[in-house]
Amino acid sequence: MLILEQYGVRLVRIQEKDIELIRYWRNQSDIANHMEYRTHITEDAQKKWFQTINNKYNYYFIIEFENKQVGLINVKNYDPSKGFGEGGIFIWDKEYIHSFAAVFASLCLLNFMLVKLNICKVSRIRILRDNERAIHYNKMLGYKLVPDQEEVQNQLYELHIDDYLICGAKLNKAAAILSEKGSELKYSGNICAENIKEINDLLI
Amino acid sequence: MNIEEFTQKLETEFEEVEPGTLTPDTHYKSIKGWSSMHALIIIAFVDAQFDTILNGGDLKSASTIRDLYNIVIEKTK
Repeated sequence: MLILEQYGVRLVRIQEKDIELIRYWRNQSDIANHMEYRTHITEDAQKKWFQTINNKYNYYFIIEFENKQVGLINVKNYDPSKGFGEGGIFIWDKEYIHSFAAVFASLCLLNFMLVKLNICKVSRIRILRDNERAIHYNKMLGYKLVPDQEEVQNQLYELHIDDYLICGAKLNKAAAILSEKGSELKYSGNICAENIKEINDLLI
Repeated sequence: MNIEEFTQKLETEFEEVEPGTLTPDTHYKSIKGWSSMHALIIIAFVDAQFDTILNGGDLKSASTIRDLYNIVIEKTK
């Protein structure tokens, strides 16, 4: 178990008990249509997927906001030599799509993975080229389109820590102003084999 | 800072907004690709430029950039 908290969002690392909830929402057409993989996900496929991500290389969290489970955020494919592979987020609760849940969750995860852990200098995401809202959103966080990705359908963006420290500083300040809950990044959980050493060291 | 300068400076804060697109009467939540990220940018902008804090209620009550400007001016009095 790993829990990250900041600005009133709680990011709770997923467990096997959560995967049917995630599968239900991930299969909804308004969510699947923004994903590269759009095929209906079966219960069996979801179990197999969980087996591939329930390890120290992948971190998927349920986003809790105002005591409701409203979405999912992740970083995946950690490579000790390259850092984290790609991140992603979706908000499934329509009431919260225009709330601060997504941006607070994004800041919380970046503050932990990119700044607190300080084990990699770059965060990567892929965005479908027609998902303008997601492109705007991530550019404001400081993500930049990787060269030669202009014609790619699922485009790769990178956020370098130096850019995040500039863009993130004003966003974090504004989040702290806006958030009635604490602005301090908190983390808790159990030391376990499903965490990289650097995370376990923080949990001691 | 007058309303025109406020609008112009705010526009530069939004990465994807084409210069000259926003006017004081623009409904700011109708900006293309609007998200809560834009709201944070507005709060940060007002804090940096006016040393004034906008809260969630202020953003909810304002429809246009002019509304936002008027709230900021009222708060700085």
